[in-house]
Amino acid sequence: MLRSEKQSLQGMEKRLYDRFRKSSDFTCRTVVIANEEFRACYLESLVNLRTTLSTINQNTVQPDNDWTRQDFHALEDEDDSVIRLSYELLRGNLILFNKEDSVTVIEPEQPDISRSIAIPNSENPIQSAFDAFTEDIDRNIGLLRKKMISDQLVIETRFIGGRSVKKLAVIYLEGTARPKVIESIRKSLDENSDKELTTARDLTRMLGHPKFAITPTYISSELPTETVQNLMNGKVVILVDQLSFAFAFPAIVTDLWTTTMDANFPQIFQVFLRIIRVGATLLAVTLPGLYVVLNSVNPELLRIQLAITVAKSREGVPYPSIIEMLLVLLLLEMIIEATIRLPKNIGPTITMIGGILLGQAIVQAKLVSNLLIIILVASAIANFAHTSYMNAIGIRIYKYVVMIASSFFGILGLEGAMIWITLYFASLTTCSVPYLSLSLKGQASDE
Amino acid sequence: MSVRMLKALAAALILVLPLVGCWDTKDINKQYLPAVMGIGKGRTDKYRVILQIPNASGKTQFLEKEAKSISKAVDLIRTDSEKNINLVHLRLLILDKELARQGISNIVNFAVRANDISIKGMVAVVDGDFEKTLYHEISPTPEVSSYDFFSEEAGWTPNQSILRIWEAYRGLNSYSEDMAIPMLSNGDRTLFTFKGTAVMREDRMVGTLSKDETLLYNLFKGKYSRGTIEVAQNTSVMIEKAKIKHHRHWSDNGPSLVTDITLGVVIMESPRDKKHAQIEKEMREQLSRQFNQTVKKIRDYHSDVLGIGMIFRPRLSERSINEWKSKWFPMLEQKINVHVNILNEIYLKDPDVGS
Repeated sequence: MLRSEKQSLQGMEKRLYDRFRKSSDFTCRTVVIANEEFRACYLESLVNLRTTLSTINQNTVQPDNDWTRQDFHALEDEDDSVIRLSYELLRGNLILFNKEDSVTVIEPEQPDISRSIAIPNSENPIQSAFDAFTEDIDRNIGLLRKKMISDQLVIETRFIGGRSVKKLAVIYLEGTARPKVIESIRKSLDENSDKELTTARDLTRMLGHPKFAITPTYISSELPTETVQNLMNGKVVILVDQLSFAFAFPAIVTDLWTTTMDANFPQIFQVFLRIIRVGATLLAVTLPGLYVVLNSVNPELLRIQLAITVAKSREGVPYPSIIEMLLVLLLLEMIIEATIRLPKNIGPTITMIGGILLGQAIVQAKLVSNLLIIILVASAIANFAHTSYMNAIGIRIYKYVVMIASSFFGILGLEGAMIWITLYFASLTTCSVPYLSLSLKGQASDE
Repeated sequence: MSVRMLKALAAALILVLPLVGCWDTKDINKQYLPAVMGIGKGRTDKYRVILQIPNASGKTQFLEKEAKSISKAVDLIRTDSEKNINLVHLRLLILDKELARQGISNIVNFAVRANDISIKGMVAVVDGDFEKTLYHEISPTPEVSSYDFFSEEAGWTPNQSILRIWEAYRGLNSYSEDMAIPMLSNGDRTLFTFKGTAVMREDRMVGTLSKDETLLYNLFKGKYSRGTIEVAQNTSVMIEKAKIKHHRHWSDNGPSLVTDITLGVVIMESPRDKKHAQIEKEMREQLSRQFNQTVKKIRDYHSDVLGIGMIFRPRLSERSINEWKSKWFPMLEQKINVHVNILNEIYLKDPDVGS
């Protein structure tokens, strides 16, 4: 044991040792560098000691080496130093004590525990660069720097957290991003710098975004290319260490139907695609409500020929249309949830069972009407025509509000619900930008 | 306000919401949606109401009751039927001629007042056997076909008149206009035969217009597209364009109106050697004669179905509008000049020009 090897541990080393007593990967051992003995303290899991030492030793052989100039300093305030040193340890640094109990921190060689840059997993770029962010924040920043060679690209890194410390980087394009937005993000990060940060929701909470919002207040992307486009559109990007997504703040209403990928297409294609997505948004929200309205409250809105067919397709269905709709929607949501987390080779099976067999069987069993299945499928497809999964969830939730309002108040309820969502959007302000703005570029005032 | 209060308030609101809304709605498959309502004279009671209810399986359901009022009759039908009767899809109101002669104001008022009947629905009069016409079936779903019969996208031609419920209501209440109702009877091979137009004075039927005379009525109303006119032997033309210009004049003898009708026509059939100028001349003379006769006939009915009162309305004082139908309209001097313009001269070789 180390302790028996050298009875009298130096003061600081002992205190570090006490602090990490429960961590089995904490190690203190004597190393020899340039014929001098040092005590090295480090976390085995984060430091590759052997290569580190050999690199240092190689350097010391050279006549004009900087090893001798290494800044060893005596420890002053002990409590403060322990915290600082343990923090360095946790970040994967190597601490060396010499015989005079002076200390230095060295950035060692680290074992390779980061993923290498690969193609994106949750996004399908069509005509674009295919590299995606990884978990290592420095690598991600490097990717961005490489994609955008500009001295106006500002990267502010900071450390945040209480129990655990997270590195995050606030990135924006000077002159493009609105100063007010940058200022408000900076301010909220300063105010909440002691909070824990592990998930995306922690980040939004830190930025003071509303707890219950049906639209995401940010857009996340796995793609550096898309993030660069976001930066150029005036958004402020926040990268968090160990999260392989870039969060672009703030989200505005156009993000529901625009993706920066569109910029790779000719203008007219882009307009076409966006019109389709806007239409899909409307359909996804209103279709289930409309079904309820037409079936039970306002059948006069259908044309007579359609009314007859609809009535026939519902002949023998035991439940009122709102219950019918809720039942099948629940089923649909479950299928969606089930397929998301399944391994890729089982997913299609569930889709097949859910979609084809269940759909066919449920109609033949006269539990729901044919038309309902059509409406449902149309609404589900429309739902996923959105630019991101995040946006689609808000719409998925809101359609229930529309549906219930419709079942109570008919077509007026549907209209009311649509007006309400517009008012709600109008009331949202994230990072000093109203949600219903159409662009973040420039200095356009909100007033 | 405390959070507790807010929660209680929200809960109360949620409980109240279903009560104020459409909680008593019936699903579409629990409703009969009649498309045609026939109102005739009852054998024992005042009205006899027949409803035609379409069904996607191709069978039509006929429901019938007699009562002193229409809504009571519908209510009686509702009592006996296994589903709710919802009149929201009522598209055609067919009246017995007998009723039309006695006055239809009650029926029109009912149709306008009833919340579920769309005032865009159409009104027609049966000229012939009421029961036979109502129960006549050609295609599996007669009610939908009867809707198509009047639809401008389907079976309508300028020889048919159309009257919507709101127009009937206007005809009842307007000082300066009367209504004309299309007349139907059951056809042999078709669902209906168009028998002409019933001319109404206020709410009573006073006379009829034939199919050709209906064309003039439609020209005045601006609905003329693709009407075919037979001019002489072997000659017929189709109206492509029509322009109507009224020259109104008010003298000591009362109102007088000269109407210039310019027809742009396309020749459909004509003998080979007939010159265009001759067709034009024949047509002009024939139509002028025919139109003026029609106008005279209408005036003799004392019914302003052409809506001439509307043309004079800007010139009339409040008092004289009230007197239009009784005093001024019978005094009206009306003349129609027809001008014909043949449009397809370019396409066909005119023997005059060619040689």
